[in-house]
Amino acid sequence: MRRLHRGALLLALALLLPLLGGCLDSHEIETLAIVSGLAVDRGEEKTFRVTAELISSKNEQTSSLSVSAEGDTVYDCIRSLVSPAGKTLYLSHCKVGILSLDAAEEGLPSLVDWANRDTEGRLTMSLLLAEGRAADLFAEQPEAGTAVAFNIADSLNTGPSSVANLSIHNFIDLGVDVGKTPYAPVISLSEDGAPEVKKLSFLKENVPAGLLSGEELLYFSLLRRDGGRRTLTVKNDRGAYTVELKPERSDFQFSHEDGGLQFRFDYQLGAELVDISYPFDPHDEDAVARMEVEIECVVKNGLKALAARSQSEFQLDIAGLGSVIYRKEPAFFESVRERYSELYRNAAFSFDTRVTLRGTGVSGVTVFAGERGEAN
Amino acid sequence: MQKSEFHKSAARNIRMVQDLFEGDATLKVRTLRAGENPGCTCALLFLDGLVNVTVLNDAVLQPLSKLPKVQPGRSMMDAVKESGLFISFYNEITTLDELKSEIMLGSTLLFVDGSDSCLAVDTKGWSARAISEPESERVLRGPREGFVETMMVNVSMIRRRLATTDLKFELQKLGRVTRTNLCICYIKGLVEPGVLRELKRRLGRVSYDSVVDSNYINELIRDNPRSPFRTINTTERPDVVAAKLLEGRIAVVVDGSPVVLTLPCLYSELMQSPDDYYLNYYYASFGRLMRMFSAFLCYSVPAIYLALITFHQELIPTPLLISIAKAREGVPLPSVLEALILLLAFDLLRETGVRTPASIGQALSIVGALVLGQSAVEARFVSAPMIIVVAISGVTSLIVPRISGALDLIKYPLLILSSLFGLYGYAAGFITVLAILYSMNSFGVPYMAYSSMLGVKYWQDIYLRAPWPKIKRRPFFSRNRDRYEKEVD
Repeated sequence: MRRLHRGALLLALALLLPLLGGCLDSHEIETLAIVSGLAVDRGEEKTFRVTAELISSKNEQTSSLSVSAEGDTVYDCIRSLVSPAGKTLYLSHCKVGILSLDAAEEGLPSLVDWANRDTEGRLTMSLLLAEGRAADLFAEQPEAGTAVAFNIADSLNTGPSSVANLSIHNFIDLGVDVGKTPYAPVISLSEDGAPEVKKLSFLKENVPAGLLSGEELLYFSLLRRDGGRRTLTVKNDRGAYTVELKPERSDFQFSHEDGGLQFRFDYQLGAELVDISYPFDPHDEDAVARMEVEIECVVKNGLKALAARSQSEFQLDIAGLGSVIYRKEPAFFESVRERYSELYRNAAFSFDTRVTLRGTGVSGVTVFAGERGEAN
Repeated sequence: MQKSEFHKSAARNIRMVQDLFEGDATLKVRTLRAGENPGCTCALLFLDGLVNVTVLNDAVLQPLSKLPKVQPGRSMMDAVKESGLFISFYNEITTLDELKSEIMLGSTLLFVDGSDSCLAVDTKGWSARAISEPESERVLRGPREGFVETMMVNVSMIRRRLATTDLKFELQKLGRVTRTNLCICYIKGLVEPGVLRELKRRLGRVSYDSVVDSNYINELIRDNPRSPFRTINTTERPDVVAAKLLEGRIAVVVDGSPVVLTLPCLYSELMQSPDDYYLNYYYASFGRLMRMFSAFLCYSVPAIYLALITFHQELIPTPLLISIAKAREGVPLPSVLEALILLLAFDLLRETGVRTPASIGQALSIVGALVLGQSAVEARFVSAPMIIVVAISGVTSLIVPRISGALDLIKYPLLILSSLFGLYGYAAGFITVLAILYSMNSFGVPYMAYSSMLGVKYWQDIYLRAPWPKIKRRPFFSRNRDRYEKEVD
């Protein structure tokens, strides 16, 4: 009886294997075309044109080639790519998905929805918008042994701006979470043809609605209170200096009095001086205090300007403050949800920043060739 | 008293023995007059090649030929026993079975006219191999002795290590034709009586006609005879046998085989090495963990690699995936066939290496490396990553020699399951192997005992080798578990 029981168990297990396993999913690795990146543009004959960068494994060095196909949806395009690729597309290692701003106006959800539903594509794929044609980014031949998409993905991870690396998964969260505004980094080609991410685009009702660039990215991250390090260059009548700012403490309070919203931000920032173009003695307390006040003013003004721009130009709660309100006072937020954007446009912002100079590098005093300059 | 099967006439006894060994030219007969007793003939019979002729001449022939005149009324056999033999041991036998057994063991049979009994004189002197270190159980540090084919020599090596009267040796014969001697060794007070009884019961049921090697007994009495995992351990080292006897195990020494059986056997024992107990415990523990990990790698690496490259490419890091895809470009065989062919080729080479004379072994290894390694890859017959995977599997199986046979067998079905069902198939196969292991017993002791017990106190001699002062308890199947006479702080 015991042997029969054991045999019956083994038979049941053996029968389960073909039913629950996936021997039909077997693919020899060399029969797959590994996709490193996808670029979606507006099509010439159809709605979309998808360009896929494929890894070529025929040569000694790793190289890449691009194939394109058009279709009414992104999924349609990807299915059509099998013919030019000659192999089954393998999308699990696709690192970046790039939409041109042009194509994004047709509807960003086409790419995002496909990525969300497809079993192969990873939600950790970086989502980017492109100024100009997205496919042009794959047109540049990468250095031997790499692929353009991999280079872009690496630069997103190691670059100075943390807002540049946004995965589709996080993008979906932004769209789904109450009170948050979706955004996407914008990639473009520099003068020497290298891809770079220096802008951010907000999305309103799934279409791009405004761009941030330069120092605004720093203030944007401060408004979002994401805690990352940022660099800030300050210019004054003596020259210019650059500091690395690290939020040590940030506090956000809101109130709703007299039918309006009031937002109060309080920052404690640590600063490290990374370079300066004029003599500066860090042991001079007055000079340090002056520098700190100067940085505070610059940061405060920048935050005020960005807040004002978000209210007047974007008309969007770019920092997702609504989600904080929703978390702390869900009943209130629900009661004003319909008119939240109007409330936001008329909200009062106040910023209180305190900067402490924490470090000035290895050498405390600015050194000039030939002679010491006078400290301020 | 048992009736003797022999005659009082030495001549008739000679004819009887010659009839028994008809056609056997190695039977030698020597008759001589019993010294100064002219009416009495003595007959010596022995098998050429099994006796020490010098001992026979000096200890038997010479004193017999000088036997003084026996007084009337006194038995000639008694006189021979008292004055006619300068030998330390003899056995007086009365049956044909005993006669056959004794002469086969190298004893010289002595018949004396007037007596219906026979003296089996201990003149064993066949050529035997010198004691040397076993090839399959080399150690970096520790004794270099190994068992030989002579049972009593092996027994003496065990005896020298355990100077206790509790060490018992029970002799037995097995095999209707071979009548092989075997010795059951155990330490009274440490061995579990139930295990000993079970062993004797199983040995008693053996009716096989021949027992040439200890492996015959192993396969005739073991639990789970169809399982590739051994449930009776083997060793060629007397120090290992002594240590196992001290843990409450039983050893079976078989005449004609240098391999001694020890039981009960646990799975965790198969990961142990004699080196573990002679080296520093940190190094020993590290070595043991390495062996366990190597055992896992041996059967898992080919299966997991195959599952990843055919089913779960998303689990492979992108640079590695590209590298593997590049290596597989142009290879005509499916991955599973490639893996099977390489694994079989490796096993073929290993078998060939074992049986190849040393003089051409080096040439063969070069051919194997060049043909399999370099040429096959350059010809795009196989891919380089698969060769690496197979090499890892092959090398790691050699790190755990006690279990390498079983590992080599189970990696093929795991490979097939992985090729059909991916990691799911591998997991199903692995769980099946585990289920089989956990269902096995060795003489009533669960095979996977200690392997699944949580708690540091169970690991002192399993996954790690604790310092000797910390190993205070014997295994749970031992009768007396305390190693210390009194608690040591």
